[in-house]
Amino acid sequence: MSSTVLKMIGIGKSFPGVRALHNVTFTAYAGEAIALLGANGAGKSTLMNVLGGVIRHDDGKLEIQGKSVEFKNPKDAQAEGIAFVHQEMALLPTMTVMDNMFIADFPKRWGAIINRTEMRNQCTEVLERLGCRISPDNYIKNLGTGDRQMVEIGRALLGNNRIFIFDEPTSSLTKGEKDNLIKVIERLKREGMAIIYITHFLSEVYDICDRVCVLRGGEVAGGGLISEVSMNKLVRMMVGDVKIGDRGSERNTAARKPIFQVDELNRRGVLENINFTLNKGEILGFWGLLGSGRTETARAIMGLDTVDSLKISTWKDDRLTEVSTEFVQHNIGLITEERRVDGLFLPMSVSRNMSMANLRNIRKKHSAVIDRKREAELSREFTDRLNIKITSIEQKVETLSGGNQQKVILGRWLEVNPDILIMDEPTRGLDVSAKAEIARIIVRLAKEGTSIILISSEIEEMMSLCDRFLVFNKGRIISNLEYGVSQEELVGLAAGTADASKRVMA
Amino acid sequence: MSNKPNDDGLFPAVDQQLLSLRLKRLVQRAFPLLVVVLVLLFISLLVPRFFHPRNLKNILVQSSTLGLMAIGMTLVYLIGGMDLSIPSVMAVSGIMGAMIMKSGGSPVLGVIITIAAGAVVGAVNGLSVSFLKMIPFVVTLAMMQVMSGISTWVTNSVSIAVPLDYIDIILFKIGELPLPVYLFVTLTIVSTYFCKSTIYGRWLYAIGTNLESSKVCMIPVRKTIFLTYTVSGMFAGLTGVLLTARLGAAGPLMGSSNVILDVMSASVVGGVSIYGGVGSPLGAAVGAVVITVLNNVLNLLRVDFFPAQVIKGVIVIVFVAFDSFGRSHRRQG
Amino acid sequence: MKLKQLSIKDSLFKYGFYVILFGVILFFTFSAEYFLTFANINSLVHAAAPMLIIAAGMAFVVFTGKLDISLGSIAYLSTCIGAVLMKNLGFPPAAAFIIVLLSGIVLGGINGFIIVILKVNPLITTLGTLTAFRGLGLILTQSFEIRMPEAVRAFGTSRILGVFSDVWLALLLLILLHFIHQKAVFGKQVTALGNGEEVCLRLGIRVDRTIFLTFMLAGFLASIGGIVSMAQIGQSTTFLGKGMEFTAVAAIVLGGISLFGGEGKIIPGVLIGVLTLELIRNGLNHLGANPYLYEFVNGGIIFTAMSADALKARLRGQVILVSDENT
Repeated sequence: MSSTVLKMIGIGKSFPGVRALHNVTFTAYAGEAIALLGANGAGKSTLMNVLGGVIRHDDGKLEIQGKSVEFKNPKDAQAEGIAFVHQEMALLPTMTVMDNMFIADFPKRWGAIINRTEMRNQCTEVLERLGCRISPDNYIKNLGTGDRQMVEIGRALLGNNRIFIFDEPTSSLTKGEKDNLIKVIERLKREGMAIIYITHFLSEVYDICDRVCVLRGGEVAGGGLISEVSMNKLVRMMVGDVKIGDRGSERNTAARKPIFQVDELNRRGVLENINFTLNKGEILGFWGLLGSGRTETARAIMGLDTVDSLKISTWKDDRLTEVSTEFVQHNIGLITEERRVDGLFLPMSVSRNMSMANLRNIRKKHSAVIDRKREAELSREFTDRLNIKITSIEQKVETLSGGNQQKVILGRWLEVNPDILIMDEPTRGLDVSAKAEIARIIVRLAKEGTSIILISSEIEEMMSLCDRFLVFNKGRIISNLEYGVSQEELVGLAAGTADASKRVMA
Repeated sequence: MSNKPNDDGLFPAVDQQLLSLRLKRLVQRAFPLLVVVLVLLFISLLVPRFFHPRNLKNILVQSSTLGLMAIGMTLVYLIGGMDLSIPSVMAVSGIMGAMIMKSGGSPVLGVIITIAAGAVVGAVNGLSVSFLKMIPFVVTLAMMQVMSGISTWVTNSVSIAVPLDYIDIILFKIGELPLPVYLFVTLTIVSTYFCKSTIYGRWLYAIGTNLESSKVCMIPVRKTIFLTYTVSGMFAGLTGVLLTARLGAAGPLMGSSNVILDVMSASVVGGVSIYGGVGSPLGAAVGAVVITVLNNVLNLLRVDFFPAQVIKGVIVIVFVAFDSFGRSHRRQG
Repeated sequence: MKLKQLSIKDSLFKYGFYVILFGVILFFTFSAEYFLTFANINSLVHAAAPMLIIAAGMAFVVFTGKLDISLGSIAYLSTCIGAVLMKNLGFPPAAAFIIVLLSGIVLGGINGFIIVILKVNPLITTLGTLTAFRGLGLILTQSFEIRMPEAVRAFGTSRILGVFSDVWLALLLLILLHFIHQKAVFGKQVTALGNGEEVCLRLGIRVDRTIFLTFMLAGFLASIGGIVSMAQIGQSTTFLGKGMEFTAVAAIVLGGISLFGGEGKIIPGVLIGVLTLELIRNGLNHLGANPYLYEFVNGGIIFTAMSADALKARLRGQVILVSDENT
């Protein structure tokens, strides 16, 4: 048994209203890789943020090589040899591999001049250790994602780090690049580094890791040597056996009436041959991992991204007719993932935010003038219906809570009343009661005949709301499942473990 | 004080809280402007000739040209853009009109050509920004160079006189004041109404506030940006019409790069944010009057042209610094 | 298939600047007599010397992805200070010039302060100081031209090995700056900034300090350019440095330095850009063209070069997009 490098003992952390971590104990050993698994919101990122010195824990203690440590900021963590290899890389495209590795701390001569020989030697050495054949003089902009990641790992190696945290490192790698990464991790292990590996792809865990630790709801749900845990058992640890709220009899499965169809949606490198049909009053779930193509599909339908091919048709009088994106734009609403970035107009009033997509319909007759009275009436009506807590409809949106902000966006689309509503992570970052309220609104909308595409990373929410699931994996729809499928199967499909071939749509 | 950009139509049930909220916002927004006005008022009391009717009339006439350019600039600011080419476009279109009339064109044709020339250049700016995705500041900076190059080149740096009947038409007096003043007041009202009450106006604010959200709300972003620059060019052309008439000639000097500072100061003093989404044409018009008064007072006090430039340079930076500071504060808070 | 097309376009962008320079030389060699003589070239580079120095300073600002359009005014104001010191207070030229250089640094520092501390957009800042600095200079000199002492005038026309001494100075500075950009820590940090301040902060680069220093460096170089220009003319004139910022931007874009930051080199970039513009002006002169035409041509060049730059950045963006998301 190899020596313990990192010990996190009884870690607890609470945010206002949420207990993110409770009594979590986590150990990493030199020369071994440990997988950190868990559903979204299980507490993985909170735990790693504690380790990275980004946030401070309330209870418990950290030990590195038997020595008790305390991190006040990320710098402290770095000093103890903890390195993150993020999904979102911090690279400078117009500069060389060498420059990128040393930018924070060049080897110097005479105080200000870069010692290039020294730099080149170190860089070459690190690249060799990684078994990586890129030249130190290559520009980052000319490298593929896999090589870019190697540069990031190389940078971490330079700093004499002992603990490497990989956060979803393979999500944008090709097969070959992935194999190379696995080799590199093997090398790191041989050099005695401790690896913490966070992923959603369970098969990788068996290729790479020696141990596993599964978090659920902020607590350790299980773990141990990977050779002793089966994949099914892992999935069960992640999902648990929580009872899920259900729409039950309200579910719309009986008489399906298709109203909308997407064919041959292709976007090079991102989406591959996406086809699906949406029925009236249906809640269709897009299920898959981050970056699997769910959000990208929604944006493509709305005409927000350029695509290589796309055919959109609607059913009218039982006949399928192709329509333009412009038609789509007036009949489909989109609630985006990042409401503050591409949803709201923060410094504007509630009323203005709600009317923004509906301006064409609240004009005074034969003019471009906005009917202010109508605008205010509609805003009042929907703030009441959605129970948005505001002092007046003139209140600025930036002063509202997350839940109320989300409801303002919902209200925006309810005013338009489109046939189809796409919701991308509509409950992200909301507290439990706000989540439930949004869910109730979604169900009511579907009952009233709106067709809804729901994108959510929270399995419970998906299970309790959706009539049907399309499972996305690496830019393709790999499965079309009816309500009633088990959680284990959904999680497995997204992670690429379950056998999807039987269920691929004809 | 009615230059409050946030003053929307009142709803029947305006409660006390809302009213005080609005009052607070108004005071916050108008505070810097208020200080400037008070200082100017104080200084103008020291200047005996300031309140002479002829001087006041003069101020109004001069504000009208600056004001129209500032309104054009404000529309561009609202969408978060920048148009440095306004004065040079104004000069070039004035020169175009003057050349047409010199070669026998009627005054009406002259006016049409002048405004059209402005619109065309504005459209080129708009195309570069909206479809080529070039940086507005840099595009219009280059355009300003090109335009001032053209205007010195085609005129050989000599002004071109315009016919007297043209001047008579444009400067036609109604009561005590010439036509440009009425045009300025009318266009201020119209453009403010346009911004505040029409969907297109609302789109301008939306785009300047959050471009991505605007796209998601299905606002035709590119088209709107393109048209805004075109309209800004038209305002520059219209200013060219008025200024050519007032000067009796069109020449490259009337679009000198100093003018752009006046236009920018007028807008920012009037509460328009260069970061987009905040302000109104009415504010810019008030700002234009303030800047004209400032020029006038400095002139009457026999302050040189150059210190005046320094003062205006400082005004722009101070007002924008206030704006930037408020924004970064809000983002953190 | 698609990638290949991109790379053809890429190489066009990469070498387009040499093609333009070569074309310009070829055109004027055949159409203007005396164009390709040593005397003409010598005086051509001599005329370009101040611009070479100022454009190099601008290049550093552009590497960070920003723009400083107050450089012409810094050149003017700082030399005004020197001229007034020499004329009114009897300072010896050497002492006066040291103060000129110091004021260049201070004026650049004022820009830096407004941008970094007051957080005003750099373009607005330098647009404001563009007018303010020039105004101050005009107040200081009361808009009079100030004649330089004989020693200074002599430097302006002196030669070393047959080549004007200010040409040597400019070349020396360019080499030094090229070295700083390529080999010094500061140069790398400047280039890094052009890749995005957000990333730089994450990498632990001292962003604010670097921006501040860059603007000070640009101010410093602008004051050197101002001195060289003043020595050439023999007096401090009211239009010294006027429009230089625009020519500098044009030269930089022509030299393949991207306005979006992070890309390009001092040598050959600045050298090619400035010389191409000077060649065009010189050539047009030889052809007896309308002197006012030059300003228009200059503006046209900026506009075209910038469109190409924007297009290039978009193409580059696409390239990165494809490889980033290639799964």
